[in-house]
Amino acid sequence: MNLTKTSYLKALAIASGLIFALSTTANAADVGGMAKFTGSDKPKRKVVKMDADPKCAAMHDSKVGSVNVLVAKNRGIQNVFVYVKDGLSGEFDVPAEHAKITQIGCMYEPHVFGIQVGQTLDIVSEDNTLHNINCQAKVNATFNFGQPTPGTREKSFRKPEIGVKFKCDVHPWMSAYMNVVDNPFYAVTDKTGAFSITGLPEGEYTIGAWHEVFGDAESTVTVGADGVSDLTFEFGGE
Amino acid sequence: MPLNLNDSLPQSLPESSSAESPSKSSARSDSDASPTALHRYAIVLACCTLLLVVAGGNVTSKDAGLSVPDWPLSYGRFMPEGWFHIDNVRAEHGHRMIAGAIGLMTAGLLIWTLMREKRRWVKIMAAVTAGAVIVQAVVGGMSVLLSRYLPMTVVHALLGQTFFCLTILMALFTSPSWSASARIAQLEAPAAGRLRLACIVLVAAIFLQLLMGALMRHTDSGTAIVDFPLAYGRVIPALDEASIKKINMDRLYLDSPQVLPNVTASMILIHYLHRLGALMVLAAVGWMHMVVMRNFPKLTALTIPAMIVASLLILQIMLGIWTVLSFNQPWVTTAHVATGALILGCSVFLSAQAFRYVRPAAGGVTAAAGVDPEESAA
Repeated sequence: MNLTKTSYLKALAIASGLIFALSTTANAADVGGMAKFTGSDKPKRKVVKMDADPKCAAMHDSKVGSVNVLVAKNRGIQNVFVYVKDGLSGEFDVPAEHAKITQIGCMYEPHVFGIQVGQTLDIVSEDNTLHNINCQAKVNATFNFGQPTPGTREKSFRKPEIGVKFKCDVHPWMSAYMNVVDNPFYAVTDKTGAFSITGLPEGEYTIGAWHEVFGDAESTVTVGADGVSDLTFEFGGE
Repeated sequence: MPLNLNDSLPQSLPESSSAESPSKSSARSDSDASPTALHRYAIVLACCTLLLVVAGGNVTSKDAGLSVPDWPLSYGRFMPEGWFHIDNVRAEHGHRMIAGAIGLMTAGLLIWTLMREKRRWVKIMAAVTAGAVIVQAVVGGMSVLLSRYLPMTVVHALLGQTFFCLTILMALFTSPSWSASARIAQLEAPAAGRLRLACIVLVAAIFLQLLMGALMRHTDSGTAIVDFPLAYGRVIPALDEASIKKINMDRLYLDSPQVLPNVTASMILIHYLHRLGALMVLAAVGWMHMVVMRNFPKLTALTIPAMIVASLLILQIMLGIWTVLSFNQPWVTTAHVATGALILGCSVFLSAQAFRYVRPAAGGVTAAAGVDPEESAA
């Protein structure tokens, strides 16, 4: 009899949890779309010359292209940071998971990334050559330290700031951009220029988009139960 | 009618035997007037300092200033492993090594001057030179530790050129001819005032241009304008928001060897001001050259440096154009910086000579030469 009662209580708890989870999901939606290049001709990538450090040059079998402007065949732009600029209320937990930027093959991976205020950033070097990592923040604290051998250093950032440049002065072609936001709703466009911000509560928001060359764009959207799937940011137009 | 001052030269330089340049004649007669070895040492120091200016210019040209992020050590060591094989680290660490050697050489100059030199003001000059190199080292270190804080890097650039001028002056002041010239009466000339003013204007104009150049380089504005002689097809570049946006789009399609950074209105303005500064220096050099050649055509102590300055300026303008058209190719840009330092150094040298050998007439020369002052002024 006791066993039956326990099972009943367990089933009730599981059902309650499912109902809560389903109701939460019903109030959250995805915002998706793409960043599109509207200029006349697609800019050509330049060849990165790594002969300034023979070790870097030896890490690549083929030519390495510049990554500042990457436009796909469908004219989608890669590495556009898309984020909720306005419309959210309340505070959000800082993720325990670390964000990560890696120096590998004398390039930064990823080239553009997001991080929440207070979240730890792992700065990793996998290269067996000298690197320095020069953070050129304007709102947050700047830093510049060397990573002469493979290893990891941790940093965190206190204030929201878009487009914080990281550069390696040893290898001038190396640059990356960090975007510090105060919420978990952000994304970086992929190779086709597509992005998807998941789990955004229903409401009206200003969605911002930033690219290192093309600059800023923003759009106001109303997110309902079905979300938004066709948000387009246009860059490079006349 | 210009005053033919050289006709009056013998009367003006009582201890000089002929109408030749005072420097030439005095050097022959008083070669033991100053410690020659110290003078030669000062010349070597000045030449090495030019090498240091080149090394420093190379660091900025390659944007290598922060490639060694610590100071006074490099990656925590006196000699970081593999530094010579990595271009930018070699540039920055090499610059530090050369600077260290120059610092020691300057200390040597100070000690030697204090021991051998009799003139108090030369001793003070040596102390100022040594002080300058110490301040320069500290400012350079602070530039690294403060991640190229703009005022610090600009001061470092200007102080470097100033230090170069101080070493040139030390070489000049310790020369036998300079010591000997103390026994020679200064040449009196109505044009002396104009000459002195032209020299002051010249040095000030070059220094101002160096300031603009340093600002341009340390704000990444060197490639802010990529065409010449126009600026994005205009005499005066457009700086409104729409134009800047279009310029940045157009820059994506340029056939540059490297990715060009986005530009702002202020970057274009700084670059443009440096171009205007070149016109200002051109005018100042032209004026100085005219004053020297018209009034002192046989005074080689002035004509030779004047011709060198004018020649260097032509080279410098060509290098400046090449720098723009090559999208700031590092070695071209560094050559531009080095030539700028040489122009400043030669101008300071010329000014020192002008102040040394010529002074405004008190009526004596004009009367001796039999030239009407009104006529000469015209």
